[in-house]
Amino acid sequence: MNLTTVLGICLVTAVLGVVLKQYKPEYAFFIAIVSGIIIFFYLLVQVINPVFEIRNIIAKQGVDTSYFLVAFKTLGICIITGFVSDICKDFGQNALAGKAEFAGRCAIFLLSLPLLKGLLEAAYSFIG
Amino acid sequence: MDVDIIFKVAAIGIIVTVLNQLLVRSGREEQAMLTTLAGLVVVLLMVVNMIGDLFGTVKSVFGL
Repeated sequence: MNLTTVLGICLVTAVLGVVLKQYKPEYAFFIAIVSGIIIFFYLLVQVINPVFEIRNIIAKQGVDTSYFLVAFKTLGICIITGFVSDICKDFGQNALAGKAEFAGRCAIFLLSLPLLKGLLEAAYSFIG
Repeated sequence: MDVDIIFKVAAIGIIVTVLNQLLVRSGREEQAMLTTLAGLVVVLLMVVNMIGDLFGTVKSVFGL
């Protein structure tokens, strides 16, 4: 994981963005999007193996992995939503960014509905 | 870690800007606008393809 590479790319993209913003603002935003995607792929490649190892360890312990899966999916939703809402903010569309984040929250809520049901049933079983 | 895409997009932006100025100064505003539009379409296609790859990867990795 070469941190300086990622930081270097961010700096170069920022400088290129400023240069291009005077003449053609849209290209500055395209550069921002492209470099965001490249950096994400670079980090994903580095991070994904340890994450799968953790999942295997959890699965080996016999603990129910559905909770970990839901958390893992939530992480995926957060990543995409964050990426899109930041890009919208770059374009100056704050309302749109808010809508994207709200959509992400709805998706996470729908994803965690079964967990909520299980929790409530467990609670009622204790009370009842 | 293919960083050259960033420089490709930047190069297209600069070339389109120069061409635009060239055409505008020589009195051909329509061609200038068309050139700008063409550059925009090219870059937009590249970016859309990359965004499609990004979403596909995230979906497959996180099992969404």
